[in-house]
Amino acid sequence: MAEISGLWKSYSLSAETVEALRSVDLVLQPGEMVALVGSSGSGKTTLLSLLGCLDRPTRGVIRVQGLEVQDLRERELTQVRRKQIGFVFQDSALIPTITALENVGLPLSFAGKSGSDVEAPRLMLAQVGLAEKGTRYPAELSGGERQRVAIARALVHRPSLLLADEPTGNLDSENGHRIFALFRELVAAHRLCVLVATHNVELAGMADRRVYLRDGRMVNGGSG
Amino acid sequence: MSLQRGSWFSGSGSGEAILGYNAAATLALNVGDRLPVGPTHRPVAIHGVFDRSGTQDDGMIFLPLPFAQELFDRQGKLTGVGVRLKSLDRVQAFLEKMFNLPSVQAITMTQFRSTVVEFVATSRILLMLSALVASFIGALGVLNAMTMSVAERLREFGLMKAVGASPSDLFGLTLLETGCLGLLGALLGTLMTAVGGWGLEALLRQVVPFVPPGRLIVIDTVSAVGSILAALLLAMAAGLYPAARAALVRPAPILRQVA
Repeated sequence: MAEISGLWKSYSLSAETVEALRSVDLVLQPGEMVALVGSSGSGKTTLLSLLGCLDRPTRGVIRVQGLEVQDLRERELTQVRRKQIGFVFQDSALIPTITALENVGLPLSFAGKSGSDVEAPRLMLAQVGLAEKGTRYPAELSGGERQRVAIARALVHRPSLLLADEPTGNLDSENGHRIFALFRELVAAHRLCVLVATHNVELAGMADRRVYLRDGRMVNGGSG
Repeated sequence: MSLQRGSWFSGSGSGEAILGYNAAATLALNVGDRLPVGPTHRPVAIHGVFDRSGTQDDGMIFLPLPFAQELFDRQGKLTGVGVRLKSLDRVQAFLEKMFNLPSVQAITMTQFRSTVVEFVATSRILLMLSALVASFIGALGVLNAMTMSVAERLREFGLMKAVGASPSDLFGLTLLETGCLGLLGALLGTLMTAVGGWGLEALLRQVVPFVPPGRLIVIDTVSAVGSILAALLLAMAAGLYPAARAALVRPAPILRQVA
């Protein structure tokens, strides 16, 4: 499904070089929900960006569905993102000027499928329990609802890998549990793989497996 | 000059005019018609139309001198006197003779014509420069607006890349937005030109003694469409840099700022 091995990522910050990730190995299996646990600055977001083809590693190998992506050209990376990967961010990151339904349909629009697949966003919204709120704008939804719209958007194009970066960071504990429960349902329903970054140990307990990052190093649990 | 039709001034001294051949054709007037003239737009009756002379007289409106002086509040005064010499050899000698007279400036038709031609050419260059400066300022405005807009929405573009947008998607999207801005500006500009031209024309008719009837500023379809297309192209050219900036956004650093 997805695999990274010997992954390093360095950033240059003025005079010094920061090692965000140091020789990280991780294997993710289909139908598995994995919690990526670590404190702020441990490298969780960097790892998700690399696995999601939003950034390139300094060295190491990333495989998504068997395809090595670290050296692909931008156009090919876009195709991998369009077909294989869904993203959920901490603050939902919805476009405020379009409706919930239009937000959910964005990945299909970019993939050129909006015309032929108009029902998919509606079905996806129904699956996250927001069938009646498709015409609402993000500002008219609660924090938990916005995050569920973001999850629907991340899954509308049927990716094999869902990456969630602190998706419950801005939610209360009840909504946080709901989001993780929704992830569990979606993993079972679509047999997709979810890698969710969190520093909430209680929520991480709802995952099939937990991997820990500290100062850019994988502490344990990397292999599937 | 001989009359083509109508008759010479009756001698009553006011309210009469004879038109040059081209003036009659341009104004679409005939003997017996009335024409408002002067600052007070007094109507005068057309008594006759001169035959074609091939000179500037063809475009003139002739009034009896005392009536014209009264009309323009210049009783007993003359602005210019046209003199036709029997022999062209005498032009230089005549000019020198006139030069010695106080308060008299003598110019030949050749000088007059070249002055008019130069004036028109200079005016045209000035207008083109003004249009060029206005276009440059307009393009800078579009560039500034779109650069600011893109800078404010870098995160949004990063997010779009994360959900599947390609650099060309973002380039096209931003350029489309620039095009809409340019088109809106071009349409508003054309509308303002039409309304402004109409207002300017009305103002001219109020303050200038004699303005020919009919539209002075005509916006034809070809000019309007050409101007709109040119403005659109200029806006698109100005939007290339912001569009490239949106297309080349790196999502990871931007999304990391939020996480």
